[in-house]
Amino acid sequence: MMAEAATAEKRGLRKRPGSGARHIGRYALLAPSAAWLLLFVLAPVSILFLYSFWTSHNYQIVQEFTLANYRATFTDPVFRTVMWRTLRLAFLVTATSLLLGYPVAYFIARKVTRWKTFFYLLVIIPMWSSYLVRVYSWKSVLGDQGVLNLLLMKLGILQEPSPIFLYNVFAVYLALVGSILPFMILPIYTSLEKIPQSLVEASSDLGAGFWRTFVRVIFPLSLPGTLAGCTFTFVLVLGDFIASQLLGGTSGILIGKVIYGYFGLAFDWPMGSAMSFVLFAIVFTLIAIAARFGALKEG
Amino acid sequence: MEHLLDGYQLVLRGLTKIFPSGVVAVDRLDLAVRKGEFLTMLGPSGCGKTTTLRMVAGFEMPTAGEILCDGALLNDVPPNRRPVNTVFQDYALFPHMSVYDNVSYGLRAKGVERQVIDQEVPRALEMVSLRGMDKRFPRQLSGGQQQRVAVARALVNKPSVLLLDEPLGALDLKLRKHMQIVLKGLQQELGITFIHVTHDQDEAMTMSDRIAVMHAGRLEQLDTPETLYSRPATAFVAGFIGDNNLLECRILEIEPDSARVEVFGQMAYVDAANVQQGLVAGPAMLTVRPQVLRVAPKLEGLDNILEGRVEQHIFAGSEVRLLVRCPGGTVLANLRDQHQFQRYPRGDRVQVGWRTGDAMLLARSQGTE
Amino acid sequence: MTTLQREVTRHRRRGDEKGAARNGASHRVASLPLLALVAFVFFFMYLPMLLIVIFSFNSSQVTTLPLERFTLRWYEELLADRKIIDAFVNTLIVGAGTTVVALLIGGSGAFALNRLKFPGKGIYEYVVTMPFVLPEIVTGIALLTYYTWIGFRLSLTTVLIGHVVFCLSVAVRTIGGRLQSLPRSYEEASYDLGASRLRTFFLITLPNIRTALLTAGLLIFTISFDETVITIFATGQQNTLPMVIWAMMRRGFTPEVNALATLTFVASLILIVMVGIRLREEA
Repeated sequence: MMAEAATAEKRGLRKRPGSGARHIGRYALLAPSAAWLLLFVLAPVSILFLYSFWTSHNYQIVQEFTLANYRATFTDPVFRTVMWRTLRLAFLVTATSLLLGYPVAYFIARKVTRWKTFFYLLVIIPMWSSYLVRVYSWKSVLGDQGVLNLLLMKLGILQEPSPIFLYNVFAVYLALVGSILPFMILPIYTSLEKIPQSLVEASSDLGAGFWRTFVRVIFPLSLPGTLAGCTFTFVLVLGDFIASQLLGGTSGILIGKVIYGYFGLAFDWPMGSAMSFVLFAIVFTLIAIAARFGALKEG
Repeated sequence: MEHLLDGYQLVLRGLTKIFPSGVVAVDRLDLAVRKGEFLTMLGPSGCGKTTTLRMVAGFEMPTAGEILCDGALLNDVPPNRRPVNTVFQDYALFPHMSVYDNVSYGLRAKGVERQVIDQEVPRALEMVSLRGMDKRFPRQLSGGQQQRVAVARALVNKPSVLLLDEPLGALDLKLRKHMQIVLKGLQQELGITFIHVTHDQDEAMTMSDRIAVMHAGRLEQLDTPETLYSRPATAFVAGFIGDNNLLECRILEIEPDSARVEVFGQMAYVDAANVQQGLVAGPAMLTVRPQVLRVAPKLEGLDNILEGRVEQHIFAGSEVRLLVRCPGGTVLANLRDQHQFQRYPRGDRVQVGWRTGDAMLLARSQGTE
Repeated sequence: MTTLQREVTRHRRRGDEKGAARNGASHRVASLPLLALVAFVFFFMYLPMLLIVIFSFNSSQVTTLPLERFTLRWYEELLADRKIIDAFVNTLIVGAGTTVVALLIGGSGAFALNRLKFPGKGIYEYVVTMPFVLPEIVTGIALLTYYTWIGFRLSLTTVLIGHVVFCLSVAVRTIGGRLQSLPRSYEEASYDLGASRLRTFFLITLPNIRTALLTAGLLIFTISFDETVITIFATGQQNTLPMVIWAMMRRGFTPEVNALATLTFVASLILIVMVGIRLREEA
């Protein structure tokens, strides 16, 4: 029977002329995006990688292969300080956003019905105003004549305005949490939304109280979205340089600002490229790990 | 071979479909459909009936074999140029178009003039009793109405063959029975060849001129409903069509006018005319319908009698049946008189018997266990 | 009753009381602590924006408290500022261009993913998503070094390319998602009724993915409009709005910027509401 089927298959295949032409036409569908990805995603990353091995001298790029840039990135104490600071900040911002954002996502997903769209939009709307201006306006909150100082003086906690709130990591921390919260809330919301109410009811029917249901049923099922939110937040902090530039002063310099500096007056593109590539590698690894746990499915 | 197939509208020759996964969905199918007949492909899920239909429509490429319609080879003709139209299982009505635009779609694609379309579409809708619905949208229609629009949309193109892929599956029982009559009436009136796919044998029996029973990609039997019922060619068909008892037995001797078998520890006889060709002594399947069985504490005058205990009463609307457990298996018997069941409480010993001419002897096959 | 039965009954009775209080009665109603937290979080997210709007009407040159008089001066200066108007037009051009290009390229990619069999689908999806999940600074720098290396002069075009690279995955995902849920039988029915491939695409497929196209397009336009980081690295002579604002922040900040931010925010709101109403009508 198998032999017969095999010869029959050959017979059938030969009976279909022109299928070759159809194939070519079909791949035309893939061509535009594939060409684009090759030209403008893969090629640039390769060139970035290439640059990272060169050096800069007298505002000219010297195209000789060297590992000096990478060596500097990993051994220079200043870089390491900045890198640690950035990583620590990323953790802090992610943790804070998670603690603040998860309840909000839970609230919108499971505690409101008629106003759901309204609250959902309320989370998204800040993203439609200029990011630059939003970050900048934290100066008005934290500055000498800002909202916070005025409030503390009114409350009698301070006698005169304090400069400790602005131009440091703390200011960057606050601005980042405020700006990135929507990116944490939305994926978690999506995950929570998908959990059928019947599961919660079943859990309650079997005798579980709120916390048990949450820990055993709701939270585990919201893990993909939670992971996605945490990953996005972490990556956004790692790559930030705008908040650092505007609000960080000298003690709040992050790796993003350092890299940015090399493309300005310092004109050391190769060095900046090398650090970029290291950042790229770190983030790439993080995302690969997170994707393994299903984070990329959301958002 | 060609001249034998004159008068047949659709011919499938050695049609085979093997999926890339290695699954053989259709295995060298030979089928010839007569012009103007209502043919149903019947079988359990996975038997290959839908795959065959899709190959005829042009949505699957056969691995081997030929599809001929009115003598012309269809294999390499793309679906939009075949003289067949399909009624899809999920109706596939275009949600963004009105009923009118849906029904006229095929005519517009062929460039038919506006005036002609304006005549044909109302006529098609009238045929399925949906006059005046042309401005509605699919989401405003009930399931039954959507189904009829799907039929109208296909028929308005006057296809040589209409393919129906389990069209009534989503309807509730009453509506389903009503649509069965409507579709059959439509087919008879129009005289178009209908090829219908279903797993519901009652439906097949009601509507079809002939039924092709399929199993594991192969054609088991192609016959009229009556013949399939009274003379099943294989054990599978015997078990699939109508209620039947399939009793494993052992052929002891095949004589000129009857066969002697041992079933459930007892001796039984089967008329030679009811014995499948090619059977020899050894394992076989005895089939006898529940309706012809007699049940009594002690039977007289029957050549074939089994001993057993009443295990269950089964109420099936208009019938009452007894499930009797015998050494070797269970037997289902219909009680003629509904109130008879009180005479046979559970656990009682009974005898089940039948006349020799009422049983058939068939070869054991796969899919009947 | 056995010990087990007694335990189960006792637990159930206790759960009933607690459950009625927690799960049953308070099931859909949020507790006060949760409400307070939600309110706080929203306040925190909206604080900067609130200030922006307030200061845009504040007559003071500096964005500090206390507030002075109400004024529309900054809005007037904004609309008279040639530089800003030009940048605004550039931003619109880039935004529209990005949307069209991203939808075309991303759309074709989504179709390819959905309809074709080809090796490396996973890698393809990965590469498409990468620029969106990686820090914009990396993408921006990669593009800058690339442009320099091949001698591509920086202009609005290079900015547009950068935006498309960033937003491509939005198009692919949104359209791809819709394609997956679109019943294949619609297209088969179209062929069955005699329509050609082209006709089927325009009359059947396209109308049924319209919502996805709209959603993706809107999102891409919004992202492109405010895109800052990649643009910083890819900008040539002509500026987009974020570039002008960025320059202002480095040099000297004028409150016009607050007016600008308020206006663009209100405009996006109106746009979203309009589209939302349109979508609601069709549903």
